[in-house]
Amino acid sequence: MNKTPFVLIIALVAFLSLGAANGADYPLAVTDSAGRSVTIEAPVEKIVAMNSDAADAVSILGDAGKIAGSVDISYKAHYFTEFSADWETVGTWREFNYEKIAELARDDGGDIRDGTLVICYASKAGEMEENLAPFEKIDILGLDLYNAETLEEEMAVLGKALDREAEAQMYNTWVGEKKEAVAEAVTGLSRPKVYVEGGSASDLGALWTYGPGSSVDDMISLAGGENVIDADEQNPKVEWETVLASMPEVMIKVPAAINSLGWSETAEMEAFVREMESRPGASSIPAVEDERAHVIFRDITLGTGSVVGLTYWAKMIHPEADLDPVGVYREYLAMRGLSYPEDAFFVLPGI
Amino acid sequence: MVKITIKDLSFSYGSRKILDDLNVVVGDSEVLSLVGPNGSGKTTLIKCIDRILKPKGTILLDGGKDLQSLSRQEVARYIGYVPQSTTSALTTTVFDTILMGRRPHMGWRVTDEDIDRVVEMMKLLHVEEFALKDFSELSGGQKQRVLIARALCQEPEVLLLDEPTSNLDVKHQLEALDTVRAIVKKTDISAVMAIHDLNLAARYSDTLVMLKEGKVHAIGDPLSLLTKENIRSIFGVEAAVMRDLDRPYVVPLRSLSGEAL
Amino acid sequence: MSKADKMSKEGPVENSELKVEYSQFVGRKVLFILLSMAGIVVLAGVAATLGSASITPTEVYTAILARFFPGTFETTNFIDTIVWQLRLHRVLMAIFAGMGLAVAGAAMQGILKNPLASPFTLGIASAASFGASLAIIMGAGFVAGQWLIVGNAFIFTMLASITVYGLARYKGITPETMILAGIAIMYLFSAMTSFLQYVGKSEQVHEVVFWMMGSLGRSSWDKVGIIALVTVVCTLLLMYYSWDINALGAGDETAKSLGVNVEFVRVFCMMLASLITASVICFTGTIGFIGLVAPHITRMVVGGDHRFLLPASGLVGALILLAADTVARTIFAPVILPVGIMTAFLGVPFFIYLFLRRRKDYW
Repeated sequence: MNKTPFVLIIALVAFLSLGAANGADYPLAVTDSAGRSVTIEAPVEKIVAMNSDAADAVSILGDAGKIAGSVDISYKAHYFTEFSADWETVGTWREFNYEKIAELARDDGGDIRDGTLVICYASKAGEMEENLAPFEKIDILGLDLYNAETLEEEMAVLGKALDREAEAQMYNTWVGEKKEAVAEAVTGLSRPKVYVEGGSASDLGALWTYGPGSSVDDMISLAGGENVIDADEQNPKVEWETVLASMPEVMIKVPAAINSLGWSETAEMEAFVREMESRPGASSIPAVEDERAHVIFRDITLGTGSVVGLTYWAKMIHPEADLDPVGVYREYLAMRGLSYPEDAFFVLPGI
Repeated sequence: MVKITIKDLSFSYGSRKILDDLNVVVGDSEVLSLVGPNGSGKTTLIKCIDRILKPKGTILLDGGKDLQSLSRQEVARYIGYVPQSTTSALTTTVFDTILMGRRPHMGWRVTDEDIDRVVEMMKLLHVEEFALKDFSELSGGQKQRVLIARALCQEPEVLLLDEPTSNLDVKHQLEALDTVRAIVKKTDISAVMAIHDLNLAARYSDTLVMLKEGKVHAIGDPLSLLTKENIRSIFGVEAAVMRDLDRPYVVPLRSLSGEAL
Repeated sequence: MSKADKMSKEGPVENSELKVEYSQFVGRKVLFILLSMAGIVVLAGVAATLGSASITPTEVYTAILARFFPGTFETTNFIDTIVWQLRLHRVLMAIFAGMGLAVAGAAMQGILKNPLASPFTLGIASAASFGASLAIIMGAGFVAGQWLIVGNAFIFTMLASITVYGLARYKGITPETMILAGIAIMYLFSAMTSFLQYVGKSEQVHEVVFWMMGSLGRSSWDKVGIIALVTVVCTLLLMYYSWDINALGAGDETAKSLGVNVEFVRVFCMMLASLITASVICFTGTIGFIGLVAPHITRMVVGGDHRFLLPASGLVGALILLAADTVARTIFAPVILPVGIMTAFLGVPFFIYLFLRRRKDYW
């Protein structure tokens, strides 16, 4: 069963090398996550990624080479080593440089022609459209590619817009299979109480957690656990006392992003685990007693790789389950043209 | 005994000379008034005497102690200052305002003696009825009396008053100065005041110091000093000076600006 | 011997009504202070029983007493941990942090003679925020490890007040020069913090914003110890100078004439207020509202005499912060709200009520 993705990737490569001329009919219309109907007049030649999730998704569909510009995602440069050097920076995550985007859309003659696609979060699509409207021919696609729930749907939309439907289909199939594998592996098992915390702050009066409705809550549940945080908010801040009182059996800390693919050594990870274990009263929590307070690499729990995270989480929550998170991670990285860093660390204590 | 000896006193704001080589002596139990036109240095001199400003020259207190060598606390026990402007930024009751005059004498705790002194001064200046009112609610005349009471609580040898009548109506002007003079005559405190009104100065002072452009123009008793000539050369005003009950009365007639003085 | 004896008409002062009236006047202030203390004790008692873990008040008090009388009272390890390691130091942190901020505010308002002054007027909050941002976003600072944010916030705060002092000294230490220098420093650090936020990643910025809202959740027994020590010592020193601060209120010239070393008192008290504020906010983040409003509320009740205003403000500040923190962590439990927001929600209505009810100018 683990062989399937490799087969798919080989098929994909073969497919590409044949230069399959399945040529979509232009103009083609798609509906983005902001509910906007976007008409793409001509094959997309230049892509501007307004967030790292968009760049991730585009690279999975094999079009990273078409990215002409992105917001400053230098802290994720290790994912795009082959390409990102040429990318123009079109702002930061909080402020976009519309003039620069328009400049990128110009051809050698200085005119803006069809064939430029800007991908931003759905919530930003309106603002983006308003500001780029004067340049007319720049297409804008609002997609939230960080959200596991709508990820497959959005990949399909993106695949259509980029004329990479087959690749999108392949990715979605792969995600579906991995999800299925996790679901199968945890079915019938007990559902341990899980506490997940984000951020790097160690403010015991305001721990950053995830409540019902958040993607983390969904992930805990898919991975066969029960979220101990029961609040009316997606990202509630709670006191350590709340956590103590809930007696979690598994604790997962997802610290702030680091600028590399995994940790190169375990010192920092150990510090996170030690900090959790040394909190007042922590020794009476089952998770700490059983050495099941984990720290995990943030990137794999979010965005296009979240199914990798799901597999890791399922394995953390159910060590007995028959899952191979590292294998899934290898496949995911291969899809993005990257290789799994054999000497990096992603989770501690190891699973 | 001499209360204050001022020798060769000069003071400048930057390059502008405000006081120029003054020599004044304040004797025992006397009311000494500084008169002169605006900018002649009356208020500046008052502030120099209380070391609010730092002049050049010498000021000797208490039989020869150099003002500069004394601590602020010691100066405050010798000199009580009644400021002209009475704006207080903070809410404080009349009682607490007067109690502040005890600062040079008391530690952190207020003793019974301090309270007694405050009550005594309040009675002396007839401000008991406002004791627990806010200082800011008082009228100009009441404020003036409270500030005098505060200065007296310092148990000073010299009282400095900066324009004590400037915000008062005629009745209160007379009352305030009556009080000052009565205190001076009853105790051996001396009072030094900067004052605009020549008639009030003449009526309540033992000695007048006429200042012009930072210099002492003349020193003497009111009767001999308030002459037509002096008023003309100091104020640039033509005035009639009359005498009644051994007091001079100045009636300004017209300004001589532009004409030769 | 004294002049006054010679002046009085009636000889020695009889034990007049005025004296009785004044001692009642002082008595009311003392009563207010005692009531505030009692209020803090009661509120602290209640706050200690509130929390996410279901422990009864009896269990809480048993756990507290068990530490003092180990034989007599029995508790469980879990309850002991919750009460002693999570709740009690936080309650004390609220008390001492609230007290420190309020005392510093009252002192600053007094020495600057400005009702809008607080230690934050002198750019202290923005300096602390910059120090913390530098630690959070750039990971850069003067001290390493877990004290990075704390150390940075503290050092930049003190740096700001020394700069304000230096600038003001150049032009003469008056309220105006100090406030102007403070405002300049404030804008400088705000701009630098904004710049850091601009280049920061979204989660770091989120962390900075949260830090700036203030939280007592980072409390621990060590930190409570530090804050309590600094606050108590500085408060006593400020109270020692309360007569001088009172005199400053009557104007610099009057203060000088009353024997006050005006510049020294102003600078020394400013440094004490800055020190308290720096020690508090480096652990809690910027809780701005208390330093401004606790002294105002107190002044409306006890008046402007700093002998009473300083300690009473401290107690009112402690009450406000303790109440705000208790509400902030229980009202939407288990979700907690930042205490800085809660202090404003609780304090402003009370402040407006007093402000409208009192007719005369309280300042």
